[in-house]
Amino acid sequence: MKDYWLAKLISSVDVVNSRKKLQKIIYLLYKSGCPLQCEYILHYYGPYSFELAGLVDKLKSSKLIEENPEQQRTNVISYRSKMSEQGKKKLREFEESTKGKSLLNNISPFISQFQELNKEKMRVLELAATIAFFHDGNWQEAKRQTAAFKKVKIGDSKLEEAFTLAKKFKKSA
Amino acid sequence: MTQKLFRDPVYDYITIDTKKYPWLLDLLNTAEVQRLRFISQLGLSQFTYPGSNHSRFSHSLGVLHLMKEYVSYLKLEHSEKFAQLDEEALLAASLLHDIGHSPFSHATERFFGNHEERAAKIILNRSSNIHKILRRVSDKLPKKVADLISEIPLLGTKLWQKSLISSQLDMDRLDYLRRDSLCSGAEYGNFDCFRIIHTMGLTEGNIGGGKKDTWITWPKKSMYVLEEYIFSRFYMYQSVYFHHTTRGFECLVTKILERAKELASKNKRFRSQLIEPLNTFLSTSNNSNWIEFSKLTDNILFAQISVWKSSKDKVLSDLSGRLLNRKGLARYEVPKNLSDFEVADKIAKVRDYLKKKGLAQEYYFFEDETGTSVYKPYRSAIDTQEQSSVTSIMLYDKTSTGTGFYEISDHPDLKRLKAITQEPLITKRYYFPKEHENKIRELLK
Repeated sequence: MKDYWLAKLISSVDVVNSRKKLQKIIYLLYKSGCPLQCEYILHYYGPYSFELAGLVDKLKSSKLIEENPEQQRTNVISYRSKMSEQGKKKLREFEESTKGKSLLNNISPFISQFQELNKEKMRVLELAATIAFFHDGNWQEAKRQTAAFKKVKIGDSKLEEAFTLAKKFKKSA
Repeated sequence: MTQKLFRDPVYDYITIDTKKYPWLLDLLNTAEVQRLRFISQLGLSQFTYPGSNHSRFSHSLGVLHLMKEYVSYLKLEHSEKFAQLDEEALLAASLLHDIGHSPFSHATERFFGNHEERAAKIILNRSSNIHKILRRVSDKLPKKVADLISEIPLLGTKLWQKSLISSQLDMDRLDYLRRDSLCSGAEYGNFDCFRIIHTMGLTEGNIGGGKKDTWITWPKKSMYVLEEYIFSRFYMYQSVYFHHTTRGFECLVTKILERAKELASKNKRFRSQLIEPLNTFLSTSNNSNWIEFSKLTDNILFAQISVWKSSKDKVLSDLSGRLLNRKGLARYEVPKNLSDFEVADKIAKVRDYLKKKGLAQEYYFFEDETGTSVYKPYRSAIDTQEQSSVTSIMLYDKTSTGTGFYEISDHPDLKRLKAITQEPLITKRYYFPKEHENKIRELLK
């Protein structure tokens, strides 16, 4: 029931500022043990899941979420996702069923983490998700690989912020 | 000039200059490429459109033909854009892009794995015939060709060149739409391909504040032919590629393979009776044995399924019989406004019902989700990579006051394209035996 879990997480905040941001947040949650698990590959902006992108498309196509374009700067448009009124109603109805209650229990512990991550800056999330992707037992090595991959210097303030965030989320698994 | 001629239903003749490209003919004659004669281009579409019996081989030759035509046209004006081996790599990649396909093409990809990555591995494998031939031309050629085919663009690959092999408008799509349309008899896939190729230019520019790059562009006068191409894709996906009957039988093949794999894992005798090379793929989860893979064709799989029709295992024999006799499957299409969790209860009831009827529900009730974008407008916030010719079809209007670049779906004269490009085409269907249709439909109401 990945679509329910994703919809539930999105419904817990007012708005998610971009799909890229959503990708990185869900990846970090997945690393902290969230049941919403998708397959990821390493892409230009860090871990990316085509499966997750498909889930967002489906939520949009069934009108559970709304996506509104917002001009950030010339030629850069961000798509803000938020739960529709219809979507909120459908979630409420589903959560009254036995299946719905059980799935709600599975996702509940991750709702506050989702809200916390949604407040983070995009660049920090991008770097943190990449560090978590490279992490294979050695945090410093993961940071070094991320720095090389994302072309940032070791010691860069955002990289350090991301490093702390990645450790916090992967540790809580 | 010595030429090798091939008759072709789409282009009339396809030629290979055997003096200029003797190695191309050698590539064509490798077992890896010849195998494509025995891989159907459209999987089980022949179960719906009886004429769709054409092969990946004729399609690969078609892609080579278009690439050759485009490269010679482009070199007339832009020869400086071609570094050493660029032309050779493009021609080789166009011929080899599909060598990783498993039987019935995309129909069994879920079972046997991604064809592009496999193709790249075969090309890079030092013991493959293809690798040896490419290396005869240059040590660097195998990697250059593999980089063009591989799904994820690597640093150093010229994106405008990669876009000719794999993008929203590439030689692959230009060939398969018209070829599949012609062979299936579904005429919606036809468009003016000659005009697309012969008005395709190269323009330097930076878009969206990115670094300066070379873009494949079309002049404004070609916008309607590009629109025609995008609509052709829309019609072909709706009518042919995602046809409910075809998709049902393709899912059935996957179910047959899954059942056989389950039996092979438990039953030594079953395993020993498998036709080579299926024993390799059904006995292990290792799909990377390319030598065994090169023996795997539609014919082998059909022969094995014919044998399984008489299998002692009732599920396997029944599923195989259903496929070979084209015994209809009933379907339920999930309404677009419903999410998975909203239909979960009904689906669970159907599974219970089939279980009570003594049927292994995992093999008799299966879901299929199709999804594609006929043209995906580039969105910096959504896309996984920077905007380039791989991600966008660009018009270039030098008389325009701005940069002159227009992504096709943003052009004010093509607003109607939004009707088919805004949302991906997503359909979710469930298939089940026709003899249980009435009861299952009742449960799904």
